[in-house]
Amino acid sequence: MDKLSLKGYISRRAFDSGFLLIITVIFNFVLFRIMPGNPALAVLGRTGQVRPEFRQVLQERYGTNLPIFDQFIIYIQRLLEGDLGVSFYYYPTEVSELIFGHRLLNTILLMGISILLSFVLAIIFGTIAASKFKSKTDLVSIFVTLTSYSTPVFWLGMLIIFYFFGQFHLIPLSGSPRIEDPKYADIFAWAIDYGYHLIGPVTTLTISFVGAWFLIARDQMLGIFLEDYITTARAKGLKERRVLFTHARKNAMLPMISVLAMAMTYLVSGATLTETVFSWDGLGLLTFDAVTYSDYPLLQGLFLLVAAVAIVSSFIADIIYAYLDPRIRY
Amino acid sequence: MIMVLLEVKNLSTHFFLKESRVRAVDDVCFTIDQGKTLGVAGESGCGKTTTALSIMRMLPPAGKIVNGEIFLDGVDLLKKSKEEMRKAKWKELSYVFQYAMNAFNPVMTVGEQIAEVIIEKENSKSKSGKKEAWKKVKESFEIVGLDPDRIKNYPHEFSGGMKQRAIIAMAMACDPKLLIADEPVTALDVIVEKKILKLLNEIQSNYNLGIMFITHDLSVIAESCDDVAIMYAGKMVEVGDASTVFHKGAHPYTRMLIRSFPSILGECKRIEPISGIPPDLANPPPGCRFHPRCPLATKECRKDIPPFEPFSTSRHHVACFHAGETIL
Ligand SMILES: Nc1ncnc2c1ncn2[C@@H]1O[C@H](COP(=O)(O)OP(=O)(O)OP(=O)(O)O)[C@@H](O)[C@H]1O
Ligand code: SF4
Ligand SMILES: [Mg+2]
Repeated sequence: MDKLSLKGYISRRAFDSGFLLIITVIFNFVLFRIMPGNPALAVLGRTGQVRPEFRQVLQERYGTNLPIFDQFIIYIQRLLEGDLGVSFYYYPTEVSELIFGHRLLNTILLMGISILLSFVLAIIFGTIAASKFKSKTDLVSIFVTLTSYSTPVFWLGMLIIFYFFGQFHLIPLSGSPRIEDPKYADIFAWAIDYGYHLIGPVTTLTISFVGAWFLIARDQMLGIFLEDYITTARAKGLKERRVLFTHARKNAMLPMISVLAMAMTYLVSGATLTETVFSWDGLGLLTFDAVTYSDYPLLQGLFLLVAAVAIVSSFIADIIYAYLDPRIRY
Repeated sequence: MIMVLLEVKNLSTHFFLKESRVRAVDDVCFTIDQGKTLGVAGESGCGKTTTALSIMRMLPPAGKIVNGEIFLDGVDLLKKSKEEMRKAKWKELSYVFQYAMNAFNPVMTVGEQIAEVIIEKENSKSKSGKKEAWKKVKESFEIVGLDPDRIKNYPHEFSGGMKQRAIIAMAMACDPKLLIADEPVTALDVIVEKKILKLLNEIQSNYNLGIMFITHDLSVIAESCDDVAIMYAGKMVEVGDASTVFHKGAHPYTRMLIRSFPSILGECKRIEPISGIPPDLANPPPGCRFHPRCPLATKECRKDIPPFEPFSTSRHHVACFHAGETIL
């Protein structure tokens, strides 16, 4: 591999990503200024009473009395210091405190495990189904995954609760155990209970993710099976396993990397519906709250996080792409 | 003594489609001797690829071998189990596909793809075995005239000509007894095709390799094949050694085919294309499949299928009731 051109490629992509990030920050600022309703009023409306120190805080932190350009400068300065502002709803808790705490961990664990599991399953099933194109196995898996894909996720979650909790007592009802909880003797006790609580939401999400990704993986594989190099690999009398999982999969992985990169945003955006059904205290639930209570600073912080993750993960995906496919060097 | 390497006996391969049955290869017989080259020629769609794929047992799902035997070194390939056949592939017989430009996987290095098949066939997964395999990859590059330092290159880093050489290096990697090359380049590229065949001929003598070289350009075969087989509409119409077929060709189709290539016999004659088109193989004409286009056709030809029989020598076979008769 040509190391020099790869380096050039990476730095170019890094520059693009940085640029995109700046645009996002600006957009994120503007978007919340042009939204309907005065954010301050929104808070005041909820709290019912004007607290003088609150107006004070708003002016101090956002410079709401200053011209818009100065507000932007303040916003950027605060952002660089890692200050995302104060939540209106959870006042006086800091937004960064709300996001970068147990909720982020909860969501990353829930989504990370679900995404990884679904991804691996989708690729394995997709490959097998494609290799048995139009067979019974293929048709049955398409039927099953299409069904799971089109099932509303909250309903799926409720079914799982109904059967796995209600009928078979295999999983707990809901909730996300916190490590601070005094009922846990040590970290292991917590981890076990945490894992136990994860089963329900992870199963729900995996079923719904696999549905979509299976079809993509299968489609990729089918296209690749028609390629000359697969016919050649078969003519070489390689083991079918090697033909499928080395020759075909390496090529099919490329588009799957983009799928995975897009899924990375779920990692922090969470899954609102699933988190709601299982009372999983994650960022999805937090976003839901922020929208419900017009908590602008909180929403702003969440949006920024999701956007940043999207940009960074697509940057990483591009690098992985370049490593996997030697032909990519723009 | 000359030993027969490949013997195809009464091979029939048909494609079973929804509404029809395409008799792509029908009752075909031929042999290839050890270390010799058989050139197979015929118009597009006459069943050359289907014959080759039948030998490799790599037919598409609709294609079924309905009759025949294929002996490679005395063993019937059609009697092998799937797993036995997989093991025989590349070790006993290797294959270069029609228009094989994309035979290499774009995301693996060329060397890797040659090494993997050596490792698989020699069953040498150990560290030393792998090292040995890579050494062989280098050797195979040298044999075909490629720079051994380029084994770690990716296919897209090779030019078209280099890729062709690399494909041959890969085909030779496990020292097979038989190599089937199905029109390795597009029909238009006769010069390249001749070059490839020349390279194969050079390698052949050192490795006692039998070659089945498929083309629809007779002039390619004329220069460097020991034997020639002419196919028409799923049938073998004439087989024999090259000089017999080119100089004393007895089947009307063979002669007309030779006449349609200007320079084969050296003298520059008028090009005479064969009028008419090949028949639909789902509905081949009764009797001799060539009769609608044959100037010698008689009543008998339209009714009975001409047997494929020895003609001038025991090695020269022709399927025609009027073999050798003068075409006016
Ligand atoms: N997968 C298939 N399904 C149905 N019919 C097929 C299939 N493959 C080939 N045939 C038919 O079988 C006959 C022989 O085809 P084949 O590819 O063997 O010809 P060929 O001599 O290799 O031609 P070419 O010179 O164009 O490569 C043709 O009539 C073709 O239409
Ligand atoms: S058998 Fe008859 S139709 Fe067929 S090639 Fe001979 S003369 Fe022509
Ligand atoms: Mg062909």
